Amino acid sequence: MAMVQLTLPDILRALTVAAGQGDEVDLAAIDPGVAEQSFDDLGYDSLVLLETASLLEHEHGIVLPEDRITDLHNPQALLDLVNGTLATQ
Amino acid sequence: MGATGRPQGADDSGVTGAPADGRAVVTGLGVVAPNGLGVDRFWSATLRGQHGIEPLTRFDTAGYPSVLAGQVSGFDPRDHLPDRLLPQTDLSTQLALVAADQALQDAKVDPGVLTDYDMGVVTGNASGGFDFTHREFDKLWARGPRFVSVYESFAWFYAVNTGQVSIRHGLRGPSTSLVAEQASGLDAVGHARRTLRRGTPLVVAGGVDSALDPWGWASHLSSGRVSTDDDPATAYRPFAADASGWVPGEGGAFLVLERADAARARPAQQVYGEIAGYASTFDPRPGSSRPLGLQRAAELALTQAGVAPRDVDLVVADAAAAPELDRGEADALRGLFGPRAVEVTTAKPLTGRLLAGGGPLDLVVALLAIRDGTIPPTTVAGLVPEAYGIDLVRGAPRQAEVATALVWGRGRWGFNSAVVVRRVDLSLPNTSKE
Repeated sequence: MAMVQLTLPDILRALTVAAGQGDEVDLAAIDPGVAEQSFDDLGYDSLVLLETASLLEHEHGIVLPEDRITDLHNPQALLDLVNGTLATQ
Repeated sequence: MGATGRPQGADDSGVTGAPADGRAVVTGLGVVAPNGLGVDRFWSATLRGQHGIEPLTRFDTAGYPSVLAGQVSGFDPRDHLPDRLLPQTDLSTQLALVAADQALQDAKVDPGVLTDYDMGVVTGNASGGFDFTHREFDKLWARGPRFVSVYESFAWFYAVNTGQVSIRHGLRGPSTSLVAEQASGLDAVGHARRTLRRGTPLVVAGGVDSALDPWGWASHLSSGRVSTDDDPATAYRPFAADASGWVPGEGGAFLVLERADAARARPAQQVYGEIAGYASTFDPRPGSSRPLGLQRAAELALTQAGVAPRDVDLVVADAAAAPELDRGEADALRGLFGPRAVEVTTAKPLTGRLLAGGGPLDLVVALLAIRDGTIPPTTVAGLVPEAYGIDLVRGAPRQAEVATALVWGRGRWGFNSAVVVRRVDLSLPNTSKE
């Protein structure tokens, strides 16, 4: 069976929901640079990341290693961790 | 030292060329009360005797012995706060953030242009984030620990209002939170006064509580002193011969306190009064022959302020509306002032009893009475026993020169706190001895 992979919009939506900014992500408005922007610059602290991980677990069944989540620096790193985890699960 | 100066301590010449003046003066007020969101709406409703007591709307109260509460109705946090704060805050914290915003705006303080370590936050808190925690506990038991929001880690917490106000406005000076049930908010203001005297120029102080979810309601009812009457206009009857207990409420108030020298230097556009004295005491164990601590708290606060009882123009009462507590308060009033020797009032029948929010809101009543020369009436008292010997302001607002007021409060399990406020004119030099 083909492994389902998440996309950048999936990750951004989870982050915005976890941070309390609603669940609508406008695909057309996504700046491709956002993937490499630091969580600090985006205003997402470690609690937002933990809440995001919890959300991804409930919605997609992905159990991310908690000790690695708070070391991530940008959305791309989170996307890579998610898809890496999906590939091995 | 910069051009605006920075007072370092009560003994320093803090502001360049000006004598140090560490008196704690109130330069801003913010109110979130069941009978009015905002200082002006609260004050006009209070003078009119308009209450904010209503049947609880947050859950189905069928089967509960008490169903009335002071609710801040029509409050939508999205009208006041950024989206990002909402999933991480309990309603009590949302209300606290709004009250603190109002107080800073009223004081015309822009924290962004002041030094962050020169501004502290001190809040009182009695119940933490009950509503938020109730919902997360629901998830814990129904779905498991992995479904509990990570924000629960601090949203429940007694110090959370201090933390969130500090973060929102970048106030990094000495900050803390104090927990003493209904006395908490006066303790916070008293501690803020102390913080200013130690040299911090500005402290945002106050308290807000809200616990009107089923779990919070159960904790209110556990006191055994919540009124079971069902008429919102008369359920809470402090000092009445047939007093039947209090009505719990939510909300409270924040004050911006500044050192007098810092307020002169800024310069502050308005000064509501001085927090002239503060003390707290603890009751002896039940059954002890030693006296209760309320009167002593007031005596200590008056001594600190250098005020004789005969110079007090108004007492804003604790007004628990439980007969034995009303009797104890009346005893303390007579013990301090003599029978019917001082005017007494309370707005609590209009708002409910607000836990940590109660004391700061009572301070707002006292400060606005000083400002306006008007004492709001205690609206719903029934027949007051002659033996109480108290001059309760009733019926209509009373016009009276109020230069000095005593605000006190009692917290369940023995907390007593008292604060003395008085009119102050910053254009005159400080002549106080302390």
